[in-house]
Parts: sequence; structure tokens; C-alpha cells
Amino acid sequence: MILLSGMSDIYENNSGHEVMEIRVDIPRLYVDVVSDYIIEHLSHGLVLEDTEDTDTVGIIFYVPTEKESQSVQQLQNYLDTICIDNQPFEYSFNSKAVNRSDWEEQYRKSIQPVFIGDDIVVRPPWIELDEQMPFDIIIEPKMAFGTGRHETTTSCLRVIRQRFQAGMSFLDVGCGSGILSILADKLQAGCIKAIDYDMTAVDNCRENFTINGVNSPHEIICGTIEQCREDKPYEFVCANIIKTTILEILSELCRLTAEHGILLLSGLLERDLDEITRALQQQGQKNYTIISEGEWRTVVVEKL
Amino acid sequence: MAKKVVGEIKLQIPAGQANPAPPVGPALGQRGVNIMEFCKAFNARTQDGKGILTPVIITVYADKSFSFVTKTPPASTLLRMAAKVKKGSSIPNKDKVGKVTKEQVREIAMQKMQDLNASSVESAMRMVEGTARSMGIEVVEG
Repeated sequence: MILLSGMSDIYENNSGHEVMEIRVDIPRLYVDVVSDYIIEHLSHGLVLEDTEDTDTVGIIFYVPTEKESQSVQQLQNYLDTICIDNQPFEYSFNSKAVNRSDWEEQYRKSIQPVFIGDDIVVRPPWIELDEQMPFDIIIEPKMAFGTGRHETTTSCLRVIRQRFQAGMSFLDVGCGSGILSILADKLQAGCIKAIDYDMTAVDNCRENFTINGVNSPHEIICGTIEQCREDKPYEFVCANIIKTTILEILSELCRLTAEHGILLLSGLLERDLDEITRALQQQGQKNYTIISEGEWRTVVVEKL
Repeated sequence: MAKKVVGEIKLQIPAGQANPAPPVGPALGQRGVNIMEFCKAFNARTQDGKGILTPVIITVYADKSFSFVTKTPPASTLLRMAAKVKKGSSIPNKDKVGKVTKEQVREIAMQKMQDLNASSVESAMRMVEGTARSMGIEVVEG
């Protein structure tokens, strides 16, 4: 998706391979400072295993396999130099290899069909339905946004179902799995352009376009909205992203929406709406409605 | 009826930057939690503090749904911000990387009182000062 700074190195360098899970058990008093050191020097994030009924806390972090011994040694050296309030402490290390496919498989298994409105279903390829639905969207769940479960996705699907008309051109900014574009295709889009800055999402989008037999003329691009600079305005534009990114590209999104076309802004929370609506007004767009689903908000702009 | 809780996951990840890479992927995926759904929600809620290390506690329910709460950044992160340094010292007993005032320590202690489980501001301050020392950040009067 366009909103995130790229996947961390560990993910890119280990696509389909193992990573090392390193666990260090330390006294609770040291958790903050050791976590800080790990984040700053060894890993982008960590897990705390804290049962709260013991004095020690397990800190788990992940490194590329080839960096395991170096990382353990580096952390060990650090642990030997810190001592809060002159309290010496003991620590222990454990490492194990974890295959990326292990957790992806667990995640995939958890995906179930989602029914939206009367006639849309989003399902993984391995689940067949007893009854055929008019809009049957098959999404191979990978590490891309848009599996159909999230409120922002269901909101966008509902609006597209209600407002999209055959022959309209469709721009999907931050396309993720391609789920919104696939519905546009099933509603007979004139043409589709799907963009995401994350290559994992673009690959997944391509895969899902193939599975669903998308036959509208289409382009799937890894990049940003800059790649639309030369494009004519689209009749339907979706940006299910995040507030900060939407604000950054709003003027371009408005420019890329044809007169009397629809611009769908999603991935927003209630607290984001003031800024978004103010920015829309600055773009001369006052004709919008807001749809609520749980804590999430979708803004449907009818371009003047 | 309240949903049945089957587990709790505690993470520390940068605000606004959750992605399916470790630790989020393995921690949530192993429990069948929708990784991308969490990333989207976490990034939306924390986008204004982008990059600041944020503790998050995720409650996992029997139906694989989840809820989460974010906490204030760890004292070590707050100390680095107060001292305006990017990193703590790798050899804190020898190399000092910055300074914070007692007043700054007090502010951090007040902010972290609940998380530190301290009985008074003074005891929370002592903990924060200990953390500062172990990061190579000196505490000075002021």
C-alpha cells in the first residue's frame, strides 16, 4: 500500500526463507532499556512475553539468519555493560529458525468468505460456495491489504456496487490485493488502472486479476500517483489508504477525478474527518457524504 | 455476551509503520489473526506520531478477531527524545551520549507512572534515572 514505508529488510531479504527468532530473558527492570537497544541496533520491532507473575520478561526479535550470531554477540556485549542501580542481573538467550511460510499459512487458514450486501462475496480460492453469488470475488490472501474483512474495504465495495456504472474508467490508488478493481471489472469497467507502491501488493494484485479473469483493459503499476500525471481524468477514483497520504495527494486525486465523477476516500477514522473535509473544501469540493462502518469512515465525493 | 479472550500479544513497533514483516507477521499470523487488518488499524491510529516506538497490546479472541490498545512510548524512547539523541550508548558506563535535566526526568516519570507500576513520582523518577544511566544519558540538575 502506498501508506507504508517499505517492508523491512528482513522481509525483503528473506522472501520465502527462514529468519531467526532470538529470545532474551531479562529482569523486568531492564526491559525498557534493552528493548530500546534492540530496536535501535538490531531489529525494527519486538514482541514482549510478559506473564506478569514472574520477575523476568522475554524479549523476542527477528534477524536475518546470517546475522544471528553477530546479533546475539552484540546484545550480549551490551547486556554486560548495563547495570541499573548497581543491581547485577542474569540473562539467557534462545534462538530458533522460523520459516515465513509458517505464519503465513496460519494466517491464510484463518481467512473465511465475507458476504457484503445481497450479492457480493469475497472468498479465498480454496473455499467453494454452495450457492453462486452474482459478484464472486476470489482473493488469494497474501501480505497485501484488501482481503475483504476490513470495514474500509467493505465500505468501498458497497459504494462501488451502488454507484459504479458500466463503461466507467476506474483508478485504484493503493490497490493492495486489487479487490476494488476486481469488483469494478465485474461491473464492466471501461478501463482500470491499479497502483501500489508495494511490490508485494502489486504481485498479489496481478495474481488476483488472473484468478478472477479480469478482462477490462487494465494496467497494474508499482509506483505512486506520479505515474498518473499524464492520465486523463477517471470517472471513478478510489483511494483506500490513510489520512496522511490522502492529504498529501488530495489535489492530484481531485484533478484525476472527472467532472461529475466519484472520488472515494477511505482508511479514515472519525478524528481524521475535520482535516479531510477542510482539505476537500480547499480543493473546491463541497459535495460529499460520509459513510460510517465501525470506527472507520469513507468519504464519497461527487466532483463538481 | 463478551467475546472469549484466547491470548494477548505485546509488541513494540514504530508508529504508523506496521507491516507484515517480523515481528508483526509471526506474532499475529501464528495465532491466526488477520495481519493486514491489524497493520491498517494500527497505522491509522498512530500515523500522527510516525516512527515513534509504540507499545501495543493486542487481545485475541476465540473467533480470531482482535482489539488493541497503544501505550505511551517506553521511558527509553522518551529519554532519547528529551536528550535529542538518536541512539543510546552501546557502552553506557564509558561513553555518554547526552543529557537530560531532573525536570525532564520528572515529566517522563509522570507520563510513565502507571506503566512503571511505581508507588510515587520519586520512585518512578529513580527508575527513569536508572534507565537514563544505562543508556549513557546523564541526568543533570535543572
